[in-house]
Amino acid sequence: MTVAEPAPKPITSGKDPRFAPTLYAHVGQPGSWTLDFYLRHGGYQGVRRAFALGPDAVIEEVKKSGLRGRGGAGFATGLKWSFMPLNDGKQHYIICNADESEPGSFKDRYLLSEDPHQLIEGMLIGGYAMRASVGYIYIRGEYVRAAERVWAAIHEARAAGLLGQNVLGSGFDFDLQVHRGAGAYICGEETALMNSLEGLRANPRLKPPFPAAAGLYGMPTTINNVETFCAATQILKYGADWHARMGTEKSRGMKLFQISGPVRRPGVYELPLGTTFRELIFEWAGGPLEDIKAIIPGGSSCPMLPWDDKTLDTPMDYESVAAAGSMLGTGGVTLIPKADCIVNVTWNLVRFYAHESCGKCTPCREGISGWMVRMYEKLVRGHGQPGDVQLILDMSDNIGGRSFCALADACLGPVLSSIKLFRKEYDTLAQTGQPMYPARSRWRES
Amino acid sequence: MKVVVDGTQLDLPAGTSGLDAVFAAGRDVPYFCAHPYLSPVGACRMCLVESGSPRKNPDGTWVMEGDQPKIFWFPKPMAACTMQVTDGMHIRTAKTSDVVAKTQAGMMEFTLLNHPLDCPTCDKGGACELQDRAFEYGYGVSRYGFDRRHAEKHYPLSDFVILDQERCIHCKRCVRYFEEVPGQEVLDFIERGGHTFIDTKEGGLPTGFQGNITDICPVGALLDNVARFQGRNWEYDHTPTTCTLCPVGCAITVDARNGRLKRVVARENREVNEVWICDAGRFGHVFASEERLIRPLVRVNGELREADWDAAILAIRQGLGGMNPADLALYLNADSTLEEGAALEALAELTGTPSVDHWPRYGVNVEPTATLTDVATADAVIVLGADLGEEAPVLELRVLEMLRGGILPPEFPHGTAIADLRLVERPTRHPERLAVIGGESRLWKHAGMRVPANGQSALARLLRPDTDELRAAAKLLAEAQKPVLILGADVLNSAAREFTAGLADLVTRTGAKVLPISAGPNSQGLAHLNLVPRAGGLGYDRLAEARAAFLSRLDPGRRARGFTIVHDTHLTDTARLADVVLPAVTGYEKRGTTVNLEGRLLPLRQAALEAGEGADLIRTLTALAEALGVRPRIRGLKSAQARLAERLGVDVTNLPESGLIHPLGRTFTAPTSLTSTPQLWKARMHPKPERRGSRVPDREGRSATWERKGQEGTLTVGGDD
Amino acid sequence: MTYFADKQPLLADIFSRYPATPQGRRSALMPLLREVQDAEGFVSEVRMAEIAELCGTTATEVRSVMSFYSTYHTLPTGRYHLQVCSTLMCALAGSDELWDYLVSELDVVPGEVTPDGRFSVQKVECLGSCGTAPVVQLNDEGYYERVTRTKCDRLLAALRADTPPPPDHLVPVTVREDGRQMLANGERVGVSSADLIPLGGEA
Repeated sequence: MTVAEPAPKPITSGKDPRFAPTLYAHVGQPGSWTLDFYLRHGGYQGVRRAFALGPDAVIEEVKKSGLRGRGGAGFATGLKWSFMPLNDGKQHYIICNADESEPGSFKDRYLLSEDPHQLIEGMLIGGYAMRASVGYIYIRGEYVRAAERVWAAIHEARAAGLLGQNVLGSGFDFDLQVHRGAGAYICGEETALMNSLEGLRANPRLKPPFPAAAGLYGMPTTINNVETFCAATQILKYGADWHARMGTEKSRGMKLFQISGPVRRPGVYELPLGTTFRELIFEWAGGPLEDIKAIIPGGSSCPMLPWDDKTLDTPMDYESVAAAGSMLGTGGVTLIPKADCIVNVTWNLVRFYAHESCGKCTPCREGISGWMVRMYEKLVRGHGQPGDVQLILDMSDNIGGRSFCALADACLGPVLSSIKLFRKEYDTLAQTGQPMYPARSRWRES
Repeated sequence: MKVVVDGTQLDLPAGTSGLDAVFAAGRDVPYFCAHPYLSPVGACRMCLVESGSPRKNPDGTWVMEGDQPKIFWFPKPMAACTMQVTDGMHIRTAKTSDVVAKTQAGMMEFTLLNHPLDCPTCDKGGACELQDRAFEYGYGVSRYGFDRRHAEKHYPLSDFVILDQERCIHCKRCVRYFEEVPGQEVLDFIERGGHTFIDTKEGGLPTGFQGNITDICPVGALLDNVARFQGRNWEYDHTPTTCTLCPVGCAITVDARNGRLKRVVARENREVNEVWICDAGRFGHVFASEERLIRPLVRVNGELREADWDAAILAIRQGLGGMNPADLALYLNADSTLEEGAALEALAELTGTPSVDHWPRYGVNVEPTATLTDVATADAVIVLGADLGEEAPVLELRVLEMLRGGILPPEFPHGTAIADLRLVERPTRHPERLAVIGGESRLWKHAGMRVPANGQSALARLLRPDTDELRAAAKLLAEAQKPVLILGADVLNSAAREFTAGLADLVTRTGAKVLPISAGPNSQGLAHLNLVPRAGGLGYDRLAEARAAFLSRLDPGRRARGFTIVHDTHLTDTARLADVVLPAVTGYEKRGTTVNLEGRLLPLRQAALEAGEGADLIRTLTALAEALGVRPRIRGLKSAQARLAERLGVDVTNLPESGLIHPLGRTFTAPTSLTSTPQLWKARMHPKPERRGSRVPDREGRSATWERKGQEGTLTVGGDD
Repeated sequence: MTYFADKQPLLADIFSRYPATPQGRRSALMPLLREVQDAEGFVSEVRMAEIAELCGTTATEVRSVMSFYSTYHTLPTGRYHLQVCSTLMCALAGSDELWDYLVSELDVVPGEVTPDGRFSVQKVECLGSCGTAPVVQLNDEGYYERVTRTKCDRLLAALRADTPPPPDHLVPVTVREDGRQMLANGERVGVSSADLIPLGGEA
């Protein structure tokens, strides 16, 4: 059976008999990270097709596919690629953002370590389309094995003429380098990442100028997520139409969804966009292990959604999740157990953002890193007072949309949504000093 | 470009920032991280305003709302400092927007979260941007119920600058300053998030231009250690004047309290120093209130004894004992004002002495044709035989400004643009535009071309390039559109006739403008008065041969063959040899006019310092004339200025704030056998530890002191926390 | 003795990854820090100065950049530096208790090294292994995943015997060898990518 004929109905379920996992087709197979394996399974066909099409047609193909950035913001990839100036005589760079550090996200790690050639091929395609001869893969420092595997793959690709001068006889020169991070969530922000790559403190930069005009070393630069480049590989290999047949009208293609928390089979599932939370949680992940009260739909900065039929029946695409009051983000779903105090849960995330604040701007440095985290600690320690929750809301009002980059707003995602959904838990804790759900043991014996 | 701020329509040039648009409209917005001469970064988030713009339909017409273009407001407030205004943009400040008012009050609450409430013991109190803005825009109370951050309150970054880490609000002005202005990566943030603090790992900030960070710090985190705890801002008498320690002529404010000079801070002169001054100018003032000579001294029985002016005049009259007044040589320091020079020239005319001189000076006069702004906006600068750090430090900053592209922030009615969006963090530098030929100096590492050379050979070698580097420098000069040639002591000391000819040839061929660095702070001005030895006279180099001599504020360590009168502020080595010593005043206590290296006339104003019976040169010469029995034509500032108008054709009584470049007519030169070695820091300028305001331990001793804290007889550190 | 003096090929390799400009030279800062830390366990002030020289900057800048990132150390760590992920997804799997257990079992707090020089501990933020929580990272090497109390005891025993087990690399993915994904109930659904038709792959 093939999926060559136009399908009457878009594919919006992982169970659809027409759906085939491609991004993760080889992830988990023995030796999947070697060039030999990759070539045996049809590797580097996408870039050959790209070379046959020519750079402008590649951008058109990506536009037509409907691919949107998989790093969280969901910006149209083809459009982003078309922002790069043409024939300006400058050195262009492309960067792969492999600084996966949004809590709840762990899809890129396996793409990097298990299928690095898919990424290399995607970057070749991107570099060719955007007239970049150098690409950097910025891998978070903790992903040691991933960095080793990617380096090894780059060396293999160089030796095979897939990187370097005149790739596959196309006349296109391209080389890749790996740059390892060292533990800073903010490096996921593209301009902070560029600063980090330049050996500077990873503070976000002022925009404009946007990276496509003046990015790395002041040159036109485009940054994409690992999954985005990998999706480009598949799009060039199987065609924009194939990609566009999956998902919903505005959110097309497949997506790597991750699920964590108390669930039977936590892990990564490749599903079409538009698959419901219910399908992911129950049919793929086997359902929760205990009573759940909320889910974080797309990584820790996405506002929590209540655990109810409406949420469960929400299709996981950019628009539907936004309409439900949150964001699809990186597609990292986390289940929040009913028996855990929501204030404590949120404190954990606030602490994360407080730890990761770069300190550049006042509302984030003082508001999040200084004040918000202490307010939560105060509540959780049972020293809360009436009015504390209102104060958190008012502070949030003074932080939200006032910071230099999106980190502070990201912290407000869990804060505001948890207060909205579980105000009673907050008020009880603030007024009585006793949580509605006392701390409990969660560590498994074996 | 039409922009509407709080309903007021303005016409602004393209590229204006939102911040400047607000001030141009006569409105106000608080800011801490923005600074006119630093890149806007949008870090403090105080200047958030509401803004919106009209939009066009696909057919190019405006989207209308009634008969006006519809304004699409941004959904969130924008930082005005990093927002470039666009045509038709509307801006609302706190005056008209409750959202902005609450945003700014909330941001102020965050800013003050960890800021200690130690204003009563803070040197910045009363002149503190944070204090003022908190009063104007804050809630008035804080809802933060936790302990503030505790950190080191007395952390010396150097002998001159002390850091209070608790007060820092992380505006990054100081970090950006070092990176962008003197081009030194010597201060930066350490750690991140709420733990961020500033520090240096260079074993102390380098002396040169470090003091400027105490001016630009918007809070009391970085303080002038020489002035520390010397007074409150409202107790100081502030005197805006011109620094006369070197020929740049930086605008400064002299702060005095109870007649003592306590502090020098920089003042803006866009044409000269922008807002930066050197460390010598800022910290090297201690001599003005230390060990001053406050009464005349007369040698009696071989010993100098205090006397009054009448006794001193009598002693001079007796000492000269009927000598021909023409035998009294008259020498003055080249940091004297034009008025003082004019008075001395007039007296020399009166006595007919051929032995007149000023020092330091060179044997040739090269007229400047470049201004400091020309240097900053040049496309090539060649520095010949100069050590800018010793000769004219702020000129070095203007050369570095040229390397950053020479972006001078525009001027608005409210002053220099507060946020010039063309200034960027970590700017691209163009070392290929700078060639340094001469001895090694601080500028060396910034230059694309470096050629070791000495003395006159510097110019000769540039004229006849014999190495690749020199050929590259010559090519740079030849191909540049706006080249500037800077000449320093090494070439000017040894300059002879062929030098002048060679220079003229080079200028003709390349169109280069020339900026010679004057030997003394006012040598450029004094050269236009006849203050050099006339035929048969003795130059300063022949002081020892003089039958009698009067030296104003010169300290050669020698005396004249005969009767020697020294006019100085301190009992110098030369004064100790003198027969009569007359107390003088420092450059901080004079009214008058000085001329900087560009030929710019700049005003000096008198700070309220206790000088005892010290007198400026005009009054002193009047007294000397009385002793000589002649009646001088110049008896005060007014008559001196009238003579200047006559002699130089310029009215110096009402100079503009930024000074005036005016042709001053012919110059007077004479050869000299002396060599002037520029040295910025004179021994008595060094703030000795016991003179310093706060007795902070040095960096090495710091940790030891912490351990000893509380023990008897040791320094108390951190007394107020 | 400088660290890089006898490692010119390594230096050349690192610098070759970036443009041959002052900016590009500065980019080598993080890789050089990583080299030193991997070799010596931490980065001393002497090494910072050496790296500053190599990258054309100052020790201040090196310290500044270093302190920004949480995985560089200025003080020596234990031979086994255990980093416990403490972010929510691991916390929901008991990482708080895991942390408390480590601290009391090893009798060491952050910033300290055990007297035998073996252990130091650090709480870190999300390690990107939420599907196999809770997670402990060893040095700059690899992760131990799904660390239960029993596994933790085994791990500590092995480290005390100086026989560190190889890091885990669990891949929580349910695409099977035939290229199809398996539902929780064991059913394989969809098709395999091998059934898709590549377009014009023979350029």
